Amino acid sequence: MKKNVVNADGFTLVEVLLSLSLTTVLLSLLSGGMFIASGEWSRSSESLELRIDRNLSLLQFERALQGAFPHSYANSESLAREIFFSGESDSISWVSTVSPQREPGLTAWRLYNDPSLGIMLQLAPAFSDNPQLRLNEAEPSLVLSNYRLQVRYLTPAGERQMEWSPVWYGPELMSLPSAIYLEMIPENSRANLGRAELLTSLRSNSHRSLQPIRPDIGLQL
Amino acid sequence: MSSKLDLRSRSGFSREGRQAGAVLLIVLWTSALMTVLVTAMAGRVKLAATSVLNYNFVAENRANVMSTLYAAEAEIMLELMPRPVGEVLETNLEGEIRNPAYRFDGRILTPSYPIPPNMELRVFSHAGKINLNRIPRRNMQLLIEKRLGGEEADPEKVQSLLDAWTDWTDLNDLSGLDGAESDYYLELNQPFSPRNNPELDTVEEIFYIRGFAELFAGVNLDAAFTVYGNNRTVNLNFATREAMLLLPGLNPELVDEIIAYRLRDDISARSELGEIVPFENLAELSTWVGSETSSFYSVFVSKRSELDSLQGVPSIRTKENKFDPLSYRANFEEYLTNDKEFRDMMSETVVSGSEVGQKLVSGRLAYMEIIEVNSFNQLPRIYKVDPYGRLPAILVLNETVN
Repeated sequence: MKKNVVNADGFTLVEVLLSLSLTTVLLSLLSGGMFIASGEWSRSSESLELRIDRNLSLLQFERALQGAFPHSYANSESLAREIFFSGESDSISWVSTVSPQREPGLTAWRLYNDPSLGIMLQLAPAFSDNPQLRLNEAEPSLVLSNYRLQVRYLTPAGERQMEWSPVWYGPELMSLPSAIYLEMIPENSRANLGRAELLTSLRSNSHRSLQPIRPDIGLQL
Repeated sequence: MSSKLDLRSRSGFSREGRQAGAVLLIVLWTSALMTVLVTAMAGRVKLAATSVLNYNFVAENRANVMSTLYAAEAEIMLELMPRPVGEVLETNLEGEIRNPAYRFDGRILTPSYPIPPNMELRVFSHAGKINLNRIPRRNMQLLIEKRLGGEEADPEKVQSLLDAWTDWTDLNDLSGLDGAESDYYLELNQPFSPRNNPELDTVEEIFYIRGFAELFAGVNLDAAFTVYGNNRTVNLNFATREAMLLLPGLNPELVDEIIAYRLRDDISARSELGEIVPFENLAELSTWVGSETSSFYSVFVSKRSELDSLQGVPSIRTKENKFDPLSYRANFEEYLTNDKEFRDMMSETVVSGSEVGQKLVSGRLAYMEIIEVNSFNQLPRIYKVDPYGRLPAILVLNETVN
């Protein structure tokens, strides 16, 4: 018994060194693992938040496109009535019953690409005339950074045939496309998010009294 | 005793006390770190799960709304077909058959094609609204006078509003005596050009006419007016409360009586209207009412559960700490209704609650489409889609909730 007590009074140098080195190895392994794990998680959570942002904006555009309205106005020069809609492959302007501020009346929306920032949104009241000027002067807000917009419009092409065309100009065709295919393409791989796409039909696509003009046939009565 | 002590010292319990403390500390630290990490991860997983659930929720709702809309379109098309032989139709107290087309007056419909159980469908015929594109100047004057207080209306103000209306709807850009054309509208804070066309695009447009925003402040324009069709009169069997309140000769009490009468019987002849409306009011009213129907309809689809929560009916709103999709969904909706902006948006006002068991509410939110149905073998034309439309004032019977 006495012998035991004497032995317990201390460790040999080897014992101390061994235990210290073992502890160091264990702790470094543990902390390294944690570091990697936490890094991985913050990356994935960042992409999760980005994904949520992206999907929320998609949802908002979807609603606004579903509420698209064939807004008519008198052309100030020709005095002819025209339908407001301007669709290109990298930008789209339309009038919708949906407004983010829930204002009464119609709201004009414009989505376009800013090469240095990302996808931008402009909003302006549609009133009773051509809202394009107001829209272009409206304060743009960044919807999604590091993304690029690409839009296609469902266009009649011959009898019983449709194709996705990169342009749709309302004043010429006097109507809205029956469907829109909108893609959001990531500009760089940092965000590591895939592309997002939105395919939506515009249920209200022709004006009640203005005749639509088919791009392939022309005016149809 | 001694043998126990011996055992203890042999196992090194006493001398290893200090070492065990160090190990304990390390274990505690590690577990604390792990807990923090796991909590953070769990938070992320929960966020991912809830967002997926929300997208699912949105997609499901959208599918339900669309299927209800298609059922409504089919229902209106079926109405144009010959009625099936042997169909039992609703009758009034005298046993006369009631016109089934009058069910498109905003009551909750159960269409022939089944709709999802949590959806509520209402159809308003545009024959029950005041047609802004066909209103004669004289009638517009009467409307303005009524809004400005009837007999006491300031004639100058009436004339000025009427001139502004005329200038908005005429084809030229020349101001009338007290009218307003581009010279006025382009000087506004947010300048724009007037319509200068007798055909308005939407009813909300009249808000842009000089003075009209003030004149019709607080009126649900979409419920009271239409810009579709050729009707010059309002069919009281379809008429919305908002439209009736604007008509000269009617007051809130008379409107309530008309709505109550409609529940029992059709108003098919002027003599029947005479039973409800006193003679002196009838003289004013008679130029406004008719028995025209319209091929234009506003279809409103809303969710039943939203209505329940707004009526204060207790539903599955239990606070649970457990993550359970069902209670989450309920909490999500509760969150939305607690959100001030959303609540303002969803806010509805009780217009009247005269009779026990029913009340009139207005301002409810619903998916709205304006469609034209001309034939049973042709798909309807869709003129306006508003995912955040506002229902006209509707009669809520408490029994429909339970």
